[in-house]
Amino acid sequence: MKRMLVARPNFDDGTHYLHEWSSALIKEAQNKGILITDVKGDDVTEKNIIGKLGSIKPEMAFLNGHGTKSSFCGHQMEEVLNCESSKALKGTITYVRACDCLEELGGDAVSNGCRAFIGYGKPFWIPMQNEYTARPLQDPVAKPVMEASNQVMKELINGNSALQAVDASRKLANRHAAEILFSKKFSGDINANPTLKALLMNKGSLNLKGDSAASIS
Amino acid sequence: MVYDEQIKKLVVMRLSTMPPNVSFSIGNYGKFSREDLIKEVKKNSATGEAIVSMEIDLLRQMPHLSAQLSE
Repeated sequence: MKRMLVARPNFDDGTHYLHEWSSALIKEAQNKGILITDVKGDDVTEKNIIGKLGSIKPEMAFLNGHGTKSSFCGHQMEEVLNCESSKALKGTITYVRACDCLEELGGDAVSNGCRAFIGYGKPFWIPMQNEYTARPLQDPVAKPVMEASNQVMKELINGNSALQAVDASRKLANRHAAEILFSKKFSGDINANPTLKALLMNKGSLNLKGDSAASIS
Repeated sequence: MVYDEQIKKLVVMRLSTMPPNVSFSIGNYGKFSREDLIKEVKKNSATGEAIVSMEIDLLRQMPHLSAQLSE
């Protein structure tokens, strides 16, 4: 049985959106027979995540939260993984849905044995319509952006490769962007559309390090 | 990187067309309304520079957008 570790802190609006939008992926993975270890909220600490990566030895890690070039952060910005401790990701295919982590943290993780590290080389932008911040799954401004980023995990869960996952996410971002541009509601002003901005920015900074052919199948 | 005043003015004008009821979560920088974003750009903060950089990236993408979206 394949195993997946999910980390999803939930202490501000950004992490709340990531937390909520991860739920469907967890269900989808369970339906595929993948054993999930779901570390959430204030349990997303360095001790818990490093400990569980070591004890469970998952094939996949799906880490949501805030990030810097050299670290992934959990509850209340506690540093959970850095370049040195990235050896805990050895043997995994990892998707970090957080800002900036790809180049340094991802590069070191792969040098330390991570099979493939998918992440963002720049900030991860989430547009939010103020009326929906308590109901992230219904937020029409965030939905296309979150769906495009969820596509990475959907592909990995379905046994597709890291490269296929990145490509599929970019394609979905393109499709959503085209839908906005050609919609009757579109004002013609790209500046005025935060969803379009976030789709293009996130798509541009999504990439992978390591073995592009890595998959769980 | 400190951006030219003309570029910052352009970015502020672009940001001012955003809907007033939409905010951006920008990772560990935090959550920003339209007015917050404009304020950050005007005061040259690290967040402001990230916002200017985003807008410049988008402007550079614009001529290639239709080709990109048909990929």
